[in-house]
Amino acid sequence: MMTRADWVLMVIALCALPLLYLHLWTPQDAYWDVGDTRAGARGSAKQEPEPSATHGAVADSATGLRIQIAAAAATITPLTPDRQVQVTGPIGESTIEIRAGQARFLSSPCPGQVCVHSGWLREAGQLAACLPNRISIQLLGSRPRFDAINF
Amino acid sequence: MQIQTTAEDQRIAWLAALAITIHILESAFPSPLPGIKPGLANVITIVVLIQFGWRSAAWVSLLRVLCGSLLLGTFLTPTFLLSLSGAVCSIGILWLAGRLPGRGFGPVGFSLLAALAHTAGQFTIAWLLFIPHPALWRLFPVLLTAALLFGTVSGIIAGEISNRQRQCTT
Repeated sequence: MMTRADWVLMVIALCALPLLYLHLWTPQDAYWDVGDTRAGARGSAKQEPEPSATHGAVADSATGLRIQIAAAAATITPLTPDRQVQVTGPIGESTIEIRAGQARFLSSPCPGQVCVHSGWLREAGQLAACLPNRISIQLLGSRPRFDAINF
Repeated sequence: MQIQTTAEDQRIAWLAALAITIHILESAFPSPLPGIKPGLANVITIVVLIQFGWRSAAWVSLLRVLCGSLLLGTFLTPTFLLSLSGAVCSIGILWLAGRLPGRGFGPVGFSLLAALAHTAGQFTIAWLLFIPHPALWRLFPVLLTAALLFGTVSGIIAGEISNRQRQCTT
């Protein structure tokens, strides 16, 4: 029932599939790191000493924090030292706290406070956003824990 | 006013109706992963391709997508667009495959090619229009694996149907 062309096609397909898996499933830090850290923020973040050991397993995955305000270009900031960053959006000033390789909205002028209630961002890829004040923050890193639920 | 129909038109309508029925029955089953489904309606496309040629197969396939979406309520939605792009791609590759000199492909080859082209086309459209995120490509080989599996199974079924039909007519 199978012609020679069928067999050839089947063999080619069976050989090509593992190659595809190999090509597409090897870890690559293309998206999470490269495009966003033109200014070498990743490099500088890596040279910083690792944050305190309490969150050791967590902290080594995130290498920086991206702060996006409205339509302006995002800024990347390292996760050390621990500090508070004041960011001004359309409706006022939000405070972002960075501590032990984690980040959160500490306070916000928005009515809903959804961003503040998002709590600490612990792992690379995690994101918190304040829509009224048009500010979003996201932890960057080469090994994001999630992929389907944040993009 | 009456539209003149040829025997071929009626045959296409019958076969398309059959394909639509399978399409709708299949849509009632839940899918383990978004984007993966057996695509048994393509069995009809392959059988038609082998027995009546590419033109009829293209008609049946496109009619199935159109009427299937109207009946399922997905007409002009993203689902419809994905379905259509998949059908167009697989019909295109079947046209190319039919030009192959020599004995060419059998039902399994045709079905496999159609399934792979369907998935690849659909995936590309999904990526371009709906989820332009690079991580989506991780799903690509998984979907192709499913296409390989279901394409082969559909092809075997189509081959079996063609054989039996040939036995009946002779």
